[in-house]
Amino acid sequence: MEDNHFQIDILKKAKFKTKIDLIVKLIFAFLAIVCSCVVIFIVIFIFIKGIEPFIVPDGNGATQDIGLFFSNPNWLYDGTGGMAYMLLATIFITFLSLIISIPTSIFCSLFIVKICPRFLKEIFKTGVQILASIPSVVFGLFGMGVLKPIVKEIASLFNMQTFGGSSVLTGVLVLAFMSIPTITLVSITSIEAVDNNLSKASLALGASNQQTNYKIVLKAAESGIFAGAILGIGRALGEATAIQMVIGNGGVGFDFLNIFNIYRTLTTTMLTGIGEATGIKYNIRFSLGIVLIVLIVITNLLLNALKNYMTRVETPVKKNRRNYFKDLKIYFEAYINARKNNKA
Amino acid sequence: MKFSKLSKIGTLALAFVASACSSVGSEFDSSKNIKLYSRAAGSGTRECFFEGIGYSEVKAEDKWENGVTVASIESNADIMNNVGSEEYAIGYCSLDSVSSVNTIKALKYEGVEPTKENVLNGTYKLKRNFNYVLRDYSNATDASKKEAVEGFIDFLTNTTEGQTVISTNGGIVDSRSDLVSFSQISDKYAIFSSSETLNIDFCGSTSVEKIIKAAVEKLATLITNKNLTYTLNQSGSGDAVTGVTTGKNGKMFGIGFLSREIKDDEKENLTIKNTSGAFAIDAVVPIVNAKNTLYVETTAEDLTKMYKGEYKIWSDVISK
Repeated sequence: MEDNHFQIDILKKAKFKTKIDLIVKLIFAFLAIVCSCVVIFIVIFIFIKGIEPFIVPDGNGATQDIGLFFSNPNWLYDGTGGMAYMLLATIFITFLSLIISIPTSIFCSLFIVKICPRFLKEIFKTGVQILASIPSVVFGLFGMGVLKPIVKEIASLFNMQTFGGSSVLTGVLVLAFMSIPTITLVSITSIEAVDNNLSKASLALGASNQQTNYKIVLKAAESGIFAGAILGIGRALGEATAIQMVIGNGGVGFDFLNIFNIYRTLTTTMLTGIGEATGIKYNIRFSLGIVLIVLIVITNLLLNALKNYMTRVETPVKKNRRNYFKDLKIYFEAYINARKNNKA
Repeated sequence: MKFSKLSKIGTLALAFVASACSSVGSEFDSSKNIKLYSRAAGSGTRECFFEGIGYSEVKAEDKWENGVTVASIESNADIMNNVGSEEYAIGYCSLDSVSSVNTIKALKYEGVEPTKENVLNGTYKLKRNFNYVLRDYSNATDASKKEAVEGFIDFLTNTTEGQTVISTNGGIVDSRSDLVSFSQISDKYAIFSSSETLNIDFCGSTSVEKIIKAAVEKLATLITNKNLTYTLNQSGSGDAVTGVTTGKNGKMFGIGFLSREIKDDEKENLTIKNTSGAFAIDAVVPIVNAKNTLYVETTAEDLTKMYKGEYKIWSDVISK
């Protein structure tokens, strides 16, 4: 009887535990669905509000002309503006800032993890973490106060004029300053995760420290560094406040190719004059939002594909019939040789 | 051997930078390009400026001519800072804040100095009136709303406190001798001393926001009814008349503020019960950098040609 009671107790407890498991699973699933739904809702909302200016006339009867949206080199908020050149400018500015920030971040993280003395490592790491958590508007103020006079002097060295220092170059520098801490932090984590035995083996085989660092450690941490670069690109593409303070918000067509000119990016155009915007002048910003979302999604997909390609593992070629025949040939020749040797 | 090469390159670079630094602090070079600054599209100050100089194609949108690059600045303080840090800049800002920034210099417009007196006596032309238009509260049930709205306008236009608030917040008002203190008019409006809960919504121009916000705060300190509130919903002068006649998005507003005159097609929608009037004047001043000592006065034609790109370098304008 005692055994029976004992077993019934265990069964009851087991059923109770299963029920609790199920409830907790459902709660977690619900939370996950809610979180992912928020992202989907935001994207759907922006798409709906962004398509509206093309189809529905606003209070003054203005709609956005589709042809002009792609072909006009000038941006206007009243329905005749064109965003194609702003898109190219955004890509160009981000690309230039990445040229500055990616090498700097990789070398910084390599230094922090592998080269600098132990006691300095924590100090540098804390410094980079603080930089990464500074809000972006502070970088904008830094650009306005410090970088603008510097760029003005650089421009006068080349005998060019800028708008008081506001230019594409200042914007590129601010973006680079903002993405460097992000990429550095992720690269530090991925370089630290490289197995120490790999570097020890390379050093034992006679490679120098720097040869090991570049050919072994960086190659092994490649996928993590690439993930950090993707984060940095995302931050640079989406930056609005800091850039708006230093890039001048003017300019048409291909002006952005001269880096001392002012220009505008997709994000700054969405932000400029938003306080006084009504009707189509307000709704058209959502259309630019669609363009920005599409750009970020395409960039992320391309970069992820590139990352998978660069870090692919070479699988050994399957042994096919050819190798089988090669084996046969070897056995046959060995047999003939053995026969020859036996006779001889 | 390597160190001596490095030190040679180093001294060369230092000399280069030193020569550049010395060139920056030099005289105003009138062969440099004019750098044009403007407020962002949608700003009331921008409308007033371009309407006043006669270049109204660009007053609401960036429809600049080919080859003209104009930097677009968000706010009044920003444009003053930007013009103050670029020696070859020209821009415009509103009159009240010009004297407080010493890196910029106001230009004479059509031979008239931009001062408060010249604005009030009508000789300075780059100005606009701030107007208000009231909702028709002749319905008997809206008696307390009518009192709240009329009391606010009375405070704003006829009392010393109201006029002080306007002039300290950037508006220009005529100094009149018939101003009274608030205590003398507060008895006319029972809502100011009762405890009735009421909220009046304002709509219209954002250029008046600063003045009206300060006026609302000042009024709140003068009345005893703490449940009377005024809410600002500024979205542009275009919404002012529609807000008090037909409503915007189903919501009706008590007072609409405009930073321009009421247009003729808007006047048709107003009845005699919608009273309207001007409560302040706003003036726009063309500004250049203080280091630009050669350019002291300008005309509407000069400014238009600069913003159209017909004058490209400073010597085109100064030699006249």
